[in-house]
This record gives sequence, structure tokens and C-alpha cells, in this order.
Amino acid sequence: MVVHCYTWILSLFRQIIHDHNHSVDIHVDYFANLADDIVIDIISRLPEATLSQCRNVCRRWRMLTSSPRLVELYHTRAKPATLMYVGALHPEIFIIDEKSRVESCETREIEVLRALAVSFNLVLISSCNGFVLLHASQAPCPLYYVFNPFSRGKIKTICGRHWQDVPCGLFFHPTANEYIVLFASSSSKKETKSYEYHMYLLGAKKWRLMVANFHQAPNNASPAIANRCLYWSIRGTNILVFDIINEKFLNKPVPSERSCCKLRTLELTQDLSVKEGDLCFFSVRIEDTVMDIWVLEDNANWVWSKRYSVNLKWGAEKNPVAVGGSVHRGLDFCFCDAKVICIHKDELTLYWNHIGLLSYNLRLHKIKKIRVKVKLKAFGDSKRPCAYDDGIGNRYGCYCNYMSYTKGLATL
Amino acid sequence: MARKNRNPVGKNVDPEAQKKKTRTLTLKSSDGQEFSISESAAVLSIAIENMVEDDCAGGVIPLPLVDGGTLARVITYLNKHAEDGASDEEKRKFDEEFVSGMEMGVLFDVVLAANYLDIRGLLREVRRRIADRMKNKSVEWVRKTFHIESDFTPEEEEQMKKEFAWAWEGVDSDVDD
Repeated sequence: MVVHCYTWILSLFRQIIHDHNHSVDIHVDYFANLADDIVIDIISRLPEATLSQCRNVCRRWRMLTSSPRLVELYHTRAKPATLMYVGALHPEIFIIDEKSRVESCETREIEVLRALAVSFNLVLISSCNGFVLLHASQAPCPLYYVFNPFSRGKIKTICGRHWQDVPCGLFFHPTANEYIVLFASSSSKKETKSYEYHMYLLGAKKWRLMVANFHQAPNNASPAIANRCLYWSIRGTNILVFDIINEKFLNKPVPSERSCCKLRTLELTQDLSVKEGDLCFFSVRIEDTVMDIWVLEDNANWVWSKRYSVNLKWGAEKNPVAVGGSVHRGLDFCFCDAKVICIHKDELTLYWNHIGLLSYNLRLHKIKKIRVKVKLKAFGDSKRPCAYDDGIGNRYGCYCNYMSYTKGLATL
Repeated sequence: MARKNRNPVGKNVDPEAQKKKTRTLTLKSSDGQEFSISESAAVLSIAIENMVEDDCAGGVIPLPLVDGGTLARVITYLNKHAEDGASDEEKRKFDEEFVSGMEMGVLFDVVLAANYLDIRGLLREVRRRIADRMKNKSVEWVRKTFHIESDFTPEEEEQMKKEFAWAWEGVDSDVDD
């Protein structure tokens, strides 16, 4: 009764005020009348620093900023940065943004990793929603680590099941509300080669066997995640799709022009990426060194459209590569490691072996080298930053990996 | 309420167009103001389209959750987007200008109305605009601007300052825009 009376008075009060003027004058919480999904939509458009401020506004905002829906929306919209992982004895993680600003991820957790890496040889596998997945390939038992280098959260350790298991990627399962690491292991039962898949649920700390028996396993490239699916390119000839919700694998062809299907293409180490929620496939024609960028327009019917063509001649002319005393101007030399890091709006970030990170503007057709200067702890003199151009890793015997990474505040 | 003459519609309606163009609807705001609008413009709102289809319109459509001032703005938007000659580029420019001059309180009135009337384009535009204004602002700015009261305990507030303290670099000081 009292409650009834109260709401009635409140609505009457609102009516009076509305009759007078609109609600600007009264000091009520502007967001109070907005549904959660609208608030989530608004704050998912903010840069990560503002998002971290929004966490502290009030309890409702704190709850909304950590909701899975927000994390999903935010990571589709946010501009990806490049994660640089320097492996070998001294693992270090750096986040490089488009202005070549380098952010070192100095955390206690990375110190822990350094201690582990001395004997375990850590390899970066994939990233998802701000988390990274690392594999200790030489540990006494197969070990995997998941943590967020940006929010500086704690490390989660996964003890692998079997040596032969291949880590295929880390992803978020929206209906189970769980982060999951997917593993493939070749099935020993059958004579024909087939794989079985296991999932590790990070929150529940449980293993789950997936019924999907599929004759193909993803390769080492990290998966592109879009449309609630994981995508791996198999040597640039077909695309392996994993439907997260239905837990099904599919094998799909890569997009190509029918008329000239016999064109030789260059095999990129990473040729799938996600542009504002849409899957993109990159193929380089060897004949005329042009990179075609295809966008998946309809996931259900597998309809692609060719959105851009980028002439890669700049690579050879503007960035001649000096190795072993001679200067290589040809692109053919650089074939061994070329990959797409990320694509966002008009900006395409590429990694080219012996050239380094490049940023290409698709609208203005301008190429810019991203110069990376970092202080590498492994090499003593940490006061003076050294230019981490490509090649230094090889010189010092480090393993170095670049990957698309969106900063996020999620912690496990 | 003899405010019919105030509405900005009428002139934009092309009499040679199809039925929808010529047929006009009357929208009634929460404070009793009436606005006439061509059906082709009104049905850009999914909510109004449903009401028209269900034929529960019966001449006047009451919109008890939208006040007159906000409804007038929404109708300006609908008319522009129903205009025959307007190109996509023109509409985009209009959207930009339409929301840029609005005060924060007005933006929230419009976002509520757009949500209630289910006008996707307008809803997206206003949400984007609100986010733009929030970029690089501090907790204090957000609370003050949107009249949000903190419901954290002083201990929790202390704790929060320590958490992600490094992420506070690059945040604007509390200057109102």
C-alpha cells in the first residue's frame, strides 16, 4: 500500500514537472530511465581509459562494465593495437598503438613468466578480449598460461592433457559465459587421420571432450573471431570454421575470382583478420604483387565481396632491405614471414619480414613504417631504448611475434 | 491546445506521391500537443508502423512517454529521412548537425523517445553523440554531468583509486565542455 502510494506520487510529480518543462531541469540520474542495453551500447564506444573510469561511477555501472555483452561490443568496436611479444629467455610484452607509442606491460605476472621462461620457452598462441594465451612448449608437462597484460590481472595456469595436443585458440563462449581454450589432438583410434577436440573451461577449471570428429586441425596461426565463430586459414587454400554456439566444425573455400582461379598466390602467415566485426581474408597475387582484401558479407551463405586492392610495390621501393651486404628490392625475398596484423576502418597494419611493421591507409593509399623503440631487459642497457626493427630479434636469438590486440580491462 | 500551426511538417509533404505520402497521421505528445506528419515519415518509427498496421491509430496516436519539445525534434528527423530527394550523404550531414547542438539533457530525452518509438538510426546517432562527449572524462565529470550519485562506501572509493591507477593517465581534468 505504502509502495503503491509512493509510486503514484512519484509519477504525479513527474507529470507536473513534465507539464512545466522537459526533464533537463530536475536533477535526476540521466541514465536511470535507460535500459541496460542502451547504457552498454554507449559506454562500449569509449576508449579504454574512460571505460576504466566508468567502472567507478556507481554500482550499476560497475556491473554493466563487467558484463559479457559490454566486453563483446567493446572489442568489436575498439581500435586494435599491435601486441609485440619477445620470447626466448626473457619474455616481454609490449603494446604498440597506431602512433608508434609503445607501452610496456610491466607486471608482476610478466616477472613470473620470465622466471618460468628460463627453462620453459614460452610461445604466444592467440589473444581474445584483452587476454593472451601462452604455451610453455618445453615444460616437463604441457603448460599453458592465460592472462591480461593490459589490466595486469593474475595468470591462470592450465595443465595440458597430453603432449600431442595442439592449442588452437582462446575464445569467449557467450551462452556458457566462459573463457575456453580449444585443443586439437590427433585421434589414435582410427587408421585414417582424424582429430578430436577438447575444451578447457577457464572459470570452471574443467576439461570437456567435444563430440566433433573432424579430419582437419587448425594450424598454428591464431584464429580470427567474428560472428560467434573461430576461423583459421589452412595454408591460404581453405578456411576452417568453428561455430562456437553449435560446437561444429566446417570446411569452407577461400574467396577467389572464378575467371582467374589459377593465379598463384603468396602464402601469408596470417591472412585472416576482423574489421569492425566482419571477417576479412587477404590474398596476395604473386604476378602483380597486389593484395586483395575480401570481406565476408554473409556468414550463413558464405558470400564474400572484394573490398580493396592494395599494390604492394611500395614494399620493395620504399623499404629496400639490407641483409648480408646486398640490398634486396624484390618482394620474393620477403615471402617467408608476411602477415596481416589488423584492419580497422581505413588503416591496415602489416608485418613484413625484414621490414617490420607497416601501416597502410586504404583511402589515401599511403604507407608508413611503424617504428618501434623499446627497452629490452634481456640486453642489459635498459636505460637506452633501442630501435626494435625487424632483424634485432634474429640477431639476439629471440623469438618475436606480433599479433592484433585490443586493450580491455577484463580479468579472470 | 492550438499548437498545430507550430509543427514543421505540412510543407515537406509532396502531394503527388503515393498514398502514404498524402495520408497524414496525428501524433499526440504527453503534454497534449498535436503534430501532423505524413504516414511515410511516421512509419520510419517501427513502433508507429506497428500501431498503424494494427489499425489502433484511429486518427490520433497518443505517445504518453514523449513530451512536445522532444516529439517536435523527432518529427524533424523523421521528415528529413522520409524526404525523396535527400541523398545518403545529405542525411548523414543532417544527422551530424541535428545532434551536435543538443544539450546533454535533450540528448537523453531524444534517446528515450527514439528507443520508445524504435527509430534505429536516430537511436544510434544519439548514443554515439553521448559517447563522444564522455570521451576522456573522469568519474567526477560523469557523476556531475549525469547527476549520478555514487552508491559506493568510502572504503570502496579508496580501494578504487588504487585499482587501475595507471589507467588514469591521459584523462582530462574536470573541465566542463
